[in-house]
Amino acid sequence: MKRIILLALFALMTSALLAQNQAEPDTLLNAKNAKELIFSSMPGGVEITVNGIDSTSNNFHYNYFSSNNGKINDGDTEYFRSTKVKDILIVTADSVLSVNYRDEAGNAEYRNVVLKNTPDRQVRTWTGSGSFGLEFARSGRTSWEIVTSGLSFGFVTPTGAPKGMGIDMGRSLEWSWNAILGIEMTHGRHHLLTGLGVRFKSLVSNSNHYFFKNDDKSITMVPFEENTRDHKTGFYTFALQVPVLYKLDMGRSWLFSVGPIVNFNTGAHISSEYKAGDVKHKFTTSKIGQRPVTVDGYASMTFHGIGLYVRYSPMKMLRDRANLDFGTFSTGLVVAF
Amino acid sequence: MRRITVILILLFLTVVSASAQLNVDRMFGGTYCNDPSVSEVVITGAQAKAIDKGLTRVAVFKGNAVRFGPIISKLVNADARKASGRDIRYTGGKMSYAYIAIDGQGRKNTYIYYVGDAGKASDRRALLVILEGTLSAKRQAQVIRKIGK
Repeated sequence: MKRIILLALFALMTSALLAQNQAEPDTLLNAKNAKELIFSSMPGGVEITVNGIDSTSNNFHYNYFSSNNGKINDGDTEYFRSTKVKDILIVTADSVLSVNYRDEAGNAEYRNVVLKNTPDRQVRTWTGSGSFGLEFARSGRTSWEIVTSGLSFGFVTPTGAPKGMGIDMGRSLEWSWNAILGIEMTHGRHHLLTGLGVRFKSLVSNSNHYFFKNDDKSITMVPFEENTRDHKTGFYTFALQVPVLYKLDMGRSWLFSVGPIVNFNTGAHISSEYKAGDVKHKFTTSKIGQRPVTVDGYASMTFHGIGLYVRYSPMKMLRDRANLDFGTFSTGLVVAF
Repeated sequence: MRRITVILILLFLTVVSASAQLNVDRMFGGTYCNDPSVSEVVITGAQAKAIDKGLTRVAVFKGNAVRFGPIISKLVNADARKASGRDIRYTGGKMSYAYIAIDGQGRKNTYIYYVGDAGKASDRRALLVILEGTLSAKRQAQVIRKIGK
């Protein structure tokens, strides 16, 4: 009895070892029928295609090619195509590729090809309705993509503003969408983005003065009337913008962006409001003489697409005739999708 | 006698379950952790899903190409026998590239990616990546490029 058990154990271990032995035949295809079988054998390689396996749209492909024009096959060049084949069995064992099938008339056919394992070779085999393999974009390759990018919200403060302007950064807001529609060039870790976006900007003062456009088109600060309260005055601008941003993928989901943004300031007005008694008054002045084109400097740092931005507008916001020179600086959050 | 029968059944089950596993999985589990060139990372669950929603498991093995190339090549070849698709390339008689897809028949698919000469010339590394889940080939390439750096 012990002998039987030992033998059983020995057989079990042997079978386990044999299961890992790679010298066993490798069945590449075992199908009942197929629409057609195309076989092509040359000194440089062997190619087999079996279309319509088991009445499905699946196809089988086998390619064995030598990479450096070496010979992997000493046999003759052969090509054949057989339709409505049955009992297809394609097997490799050691260095022999064996193709067995029955033709339309039911005759058993086979081809054996001895493959030489040349040092440089490629073996591809797959079953399916499409292609097979991985394609890596080469790091040296440049790609182009239509994108939308950079939604940001921040706070604005004037730079170089005259004293007493009283702009409150907490109430002066900026919304911008860097590129509603843009084009981005990618070259490895480097990106270049340009497109068309929008920006809304407000500069709100909490002083007791309001901005007033005089007849000579200059803008001065005029005190609100006495016995009024809840004063508010500010500049509100809208711009179409064209960013030209360089982006660097710093790895680990960090992205740094920097570059100029050209603003086409299509709209601007002054809006002021106050309360006299319980009545709220609001007046707006348009055509305030904003500069039609300004250029800002922009930089942002994001992690997983969310981060901080800074934007500096060194150019005067208003024309010289306004006699109120100031630029702006803004900072806030950006979502760099 | 009953005890021996139980042992035999357990042995049989061990052999069966071992044969169902991937051969390349033998590179993981700290087998080669004494080698300073080796790094291995296995990511499962939510962390794998954070890389890609379709992923259930990612395993990455990096090690000296001279030492580990022949070992991994042998295991990759063994797994290729179960594959629904394979692309294996040899350079100078050595496996230089392999990409294998094992169809899970509606359950998890397994993709094995191997490069025998990853890294800089001064530090040739063998890179083995196993992805389990459902991903397009394009997405696999992106994930492999990202985690293989």
